[in-house]
Amino acid sequence: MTDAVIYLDNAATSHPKAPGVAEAMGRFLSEVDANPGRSGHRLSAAASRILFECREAVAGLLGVSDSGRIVFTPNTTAALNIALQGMLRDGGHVVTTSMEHNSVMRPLTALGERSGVEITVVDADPAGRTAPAAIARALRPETRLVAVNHASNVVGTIAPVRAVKDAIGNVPLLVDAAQTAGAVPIDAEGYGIDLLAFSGHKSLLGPQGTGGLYVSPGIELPPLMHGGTGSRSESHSHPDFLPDMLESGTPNTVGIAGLLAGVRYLAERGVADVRRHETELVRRLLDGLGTIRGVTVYGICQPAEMTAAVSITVEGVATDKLCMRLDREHGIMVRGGLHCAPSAHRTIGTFPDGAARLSPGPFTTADEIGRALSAVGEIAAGTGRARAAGGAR
Amino acid sequence: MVSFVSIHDVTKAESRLRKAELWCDMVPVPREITSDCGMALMIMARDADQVVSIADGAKVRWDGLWARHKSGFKLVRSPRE
Repeated sequence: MTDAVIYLDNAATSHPKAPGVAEAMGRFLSEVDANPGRSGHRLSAAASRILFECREAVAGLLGVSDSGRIVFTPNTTAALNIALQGMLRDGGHVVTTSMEHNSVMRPLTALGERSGVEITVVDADPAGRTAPAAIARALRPETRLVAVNHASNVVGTIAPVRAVKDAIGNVPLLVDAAQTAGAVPIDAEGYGIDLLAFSGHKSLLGPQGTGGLYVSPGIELPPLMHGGTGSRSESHSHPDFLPDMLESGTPNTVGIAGLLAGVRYLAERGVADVRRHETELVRRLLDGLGTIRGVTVYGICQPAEMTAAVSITVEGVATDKLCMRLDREHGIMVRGGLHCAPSAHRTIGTFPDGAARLSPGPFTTADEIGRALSAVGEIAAGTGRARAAGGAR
Repeated sequence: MVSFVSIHDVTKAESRLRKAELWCDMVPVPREITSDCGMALMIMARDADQVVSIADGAKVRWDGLWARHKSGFKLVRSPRE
């Protein structure tokens, strides 16, 4: 087993984090570590300022003018649940696509069983593309929401969310930006997005336990959780204003301190620069994989139209074994299986066996991509150490 | 003293006032002030008009401008006026 690590699992969580993230979190714990918005002392005020500055930084990165409409959540899943359960609280009809993650599919399934929500899943093509016109055709008078991911977590295919919004008109649009916030330039207001769920620990380069939801003006979402907010403390009724309404209980301020450092790094480097870097790495990856006999690459396979998520299978090598050998023999971390997106795998033709996903990040180097290609080539050719050692593992 | 709807508004107002180089101090809301939020900004009385203008321009949700008297704080302006 090799000690050196090549991390190609950034679609699951980014690694390493941005410079300064760990330091910001350590600094918060050692120098602040107070509850924001609750107490009147200077440390509480300092914690409140961290939340505010992070809201401002995230809003700036996502094209949102009012940072008070950015709500922090523990992850994208929590943000999606607030949006889905809030928008569909009285039933109705929702349109989504076959490329969605279980963080959309499972809440919708539960809403269907519990509240009679009717769900139309528009099929994407094997490249992961869903035509905006097809989404528009699925609308009904009682459609309350359209929910689409901005990019597939399996094959990276980027959805034209602006065109989707143009096609659906006044029907609210929820965008799952787990794979794109920080990786692809986003102009939430310019695109007309009504709700946008994002992860803090993926391309925003913050720690796990951070995420959020943008709620556009005019969208009313009841809270899933009620409790202390530091505001209207005299009342037993929950606040009806953002961000407090959707943020009950002590927030993950230490995580948000780290997220702030991540977002500041991105603002300084530029999301467009990260995008260029990752697009070039994906191009190298696709070019190299295309020359390896026995490797099948799924999805759109056009670097300009996808995020840095490349899913492959290798003929004659089970996906779990492929991933394990990449780890144990080559020190390469990838994610195999269904990636919490069985519907997407059905769409691209890899269900139920799944695929191995290679997802470089902002700090991945061209040399690491080259080594990953060599490793895949060695395994695909059957000349790897497992065979040399005389046994299949 | 300016009171606000939420701590987000307090911190936003503080940030904008500092950018405008106006003095302010984040303090716990005095007991006699009715406010949605537990923190408030103390400002200089002479800056009141400018503070309100900056807060409104930044869409900060403030809920009262209070003047301190010997007898306590008195509401002198609210955003609904």
